[in-house]
Amino acid sequence: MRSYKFTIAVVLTLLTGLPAWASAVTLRHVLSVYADDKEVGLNQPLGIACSDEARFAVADTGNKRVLLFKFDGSALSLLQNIKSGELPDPVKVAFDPQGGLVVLDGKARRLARVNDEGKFLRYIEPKGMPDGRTVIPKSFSLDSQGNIFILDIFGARVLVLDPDGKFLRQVSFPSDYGFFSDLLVTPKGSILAVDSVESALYVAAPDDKIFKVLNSNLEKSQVRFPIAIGFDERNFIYLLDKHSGSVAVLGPDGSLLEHKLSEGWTEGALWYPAGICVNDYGRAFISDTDNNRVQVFELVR
Amino acid sequence: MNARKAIVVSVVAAALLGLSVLAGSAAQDKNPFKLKPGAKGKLCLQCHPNFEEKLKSKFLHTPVKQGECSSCHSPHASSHGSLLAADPDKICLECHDGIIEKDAVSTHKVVLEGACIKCHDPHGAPNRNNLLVAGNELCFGCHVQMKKATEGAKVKHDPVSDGCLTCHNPHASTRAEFLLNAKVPGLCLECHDAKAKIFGQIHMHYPVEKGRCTSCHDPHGGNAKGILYATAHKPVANRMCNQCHEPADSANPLATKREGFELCRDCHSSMVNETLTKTQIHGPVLDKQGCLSCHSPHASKQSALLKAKPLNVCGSCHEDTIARQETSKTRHPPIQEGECAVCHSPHASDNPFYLKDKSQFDLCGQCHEWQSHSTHPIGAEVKDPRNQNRIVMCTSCHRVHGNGNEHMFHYAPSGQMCVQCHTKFRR
Repeated sequence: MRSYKFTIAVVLTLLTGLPAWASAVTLRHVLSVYADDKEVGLNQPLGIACSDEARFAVADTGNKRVLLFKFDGSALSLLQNIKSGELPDPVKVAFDPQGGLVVLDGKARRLARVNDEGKFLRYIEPKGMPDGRTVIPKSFSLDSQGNIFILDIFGARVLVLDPDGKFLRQVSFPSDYGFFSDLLVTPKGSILAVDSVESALYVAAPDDKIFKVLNSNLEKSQVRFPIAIGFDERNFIYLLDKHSGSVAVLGPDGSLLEHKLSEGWTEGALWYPAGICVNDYGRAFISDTDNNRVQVFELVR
Repeated sequence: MNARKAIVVSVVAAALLGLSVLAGSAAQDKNPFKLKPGAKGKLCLQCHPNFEEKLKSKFLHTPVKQGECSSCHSPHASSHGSLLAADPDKICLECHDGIIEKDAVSTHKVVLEGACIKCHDPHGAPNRNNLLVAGNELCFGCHVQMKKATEGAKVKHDPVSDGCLTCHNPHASTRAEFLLNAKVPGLCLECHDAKAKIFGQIHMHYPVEKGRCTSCHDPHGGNAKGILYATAHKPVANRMCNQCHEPADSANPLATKREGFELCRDCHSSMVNETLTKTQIHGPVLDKQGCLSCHSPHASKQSALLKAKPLNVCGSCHEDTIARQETSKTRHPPIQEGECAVCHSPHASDNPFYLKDKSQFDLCGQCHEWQSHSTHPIGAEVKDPRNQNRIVMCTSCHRVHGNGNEHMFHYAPSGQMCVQCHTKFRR
């Protein structure tokens, strides 16, 4: 009888734990942002960034502006509507440690600083480069010190610059890459980079000079065209799959755990999305590009 | 009989028994159907008299020559056609198992499929190796376009006339792609002497023997002098290699003067400059390869010096999008025909998805004219009920690259499509 009870206890324990195994995380839709405070609708938003202060910024590319919002889980407020002649075509954004923004202008192919009031400060020009090669930033990411990591597709490398733009080091793309679309610096200083064409995720540790594949088992049939990377405090990686309108959730070792969300037009569904970020409050923000909106999801574990 | 003697006798008896079993088994292996001595193929010919004619072929398959019909055919019953003793796709490999070497770099598709009889007659033929047809005509039976191209070529490449096997291995190659007997340029240099004065003069003294000859020359012949591909880049045709490359006598003569699109911009400045003014620039234009991501720098069979057919060029990155069309119930002609540029600007555009027209409605209407005046409410004034920031467009209902549904509808059956917006009709 005693062993019988023990068996039941074990089975019950396993069953209780099963949902956790079955799903690493659930993305629960909490908000869709369609417009600014004057009801001007978002138009083809591309890059998106989150800050620790519950703020998020989106490059509302089709409207040639950056919108800065605050969302504390219940109320959404627009903090800034940034439209600058110096930054006519914003495509990517990131928060710097001082609370300001760094913005990539897609047409001018240059980075610029904007303060937390939305005022343009200056362009960031790489200084002290080891070669005179052209730099074409496709994306960028900042670490906690404000160092800037630029995905330079022309030079097939990631440039690491200090906050003033001074060259620190560079990491080369691997020889057999397809097309790198996005990168992200983890809190420990590793660089993650996603190859949309090969559906591959690469990593470079802080001392690495060249990227290596994080998970060679990722297949095109599983992730069709990964376009952007998100990262949470559990070190889970979120690959935004543009062509399937879904998010592939990867473990810290890069192993594919599951797919979340699906393509569509109703709230909670995605249609050719382009940007993702995850904040410390456990919320994922996705620029749902061809749905002309930003969607916010609660990461439920 | 003492015990020792008894053991020896038992061992010998057991050995003899074992030997007889082995001998019997060997005999059975040689004659599994226990045919009468001398019967073999002759027995089969009693019922298959027409086969006698085949036996007069100049070349015979060894088992046929030996009358071993049962090597390939089961005389009683079989799960395969023609009473074959094994799967027709695999039966040849039972004897010819080394035909595809383990480390093959390229393999002929028919060999992989086990379709040996597409080239060989399994019994006998008038040609060596029991080939159905002699010479290039055998290959041209499938490679029809190649036949047309080689026969129509004004400038012939001699090895083609000598036979496809001069350069290609018909089964598999462990050395190179395309079943080539060796890698290019090594294969070419077996005949062409790179040290010859004329070779240097023609190639402007650039060390092209270190490059890939087939990036300029069509090895199967062509219409242009020097069997250059039909579309040759002007600097190549004019032998102005140093327009793009470092001087021939420099330390690294094959290096280009600039990288990526910056090299091409020197001549194609208006096109490149116009591209750079667009808000949406196709990624490969700006990456390390630049224009060479899609275009060949020297010569090509395709127009606009494309590296391959447009569908293959686009499909090399957008494999999943092209695959949608392959499985689609309804075909969209521009994609099926590989004309991606009918709708998309491959270099850059100010419109999402590099579309050629800002209005999807107008873009689709260029081909679907009737739909532009007699259709479901559509266009800038019609909001999509599912999303306040979208208008109803052709793509609201149709997946233009195709899917598994009729008419490329997003949902099936079609009624399911309609109730996505007309929710009151939902059941």
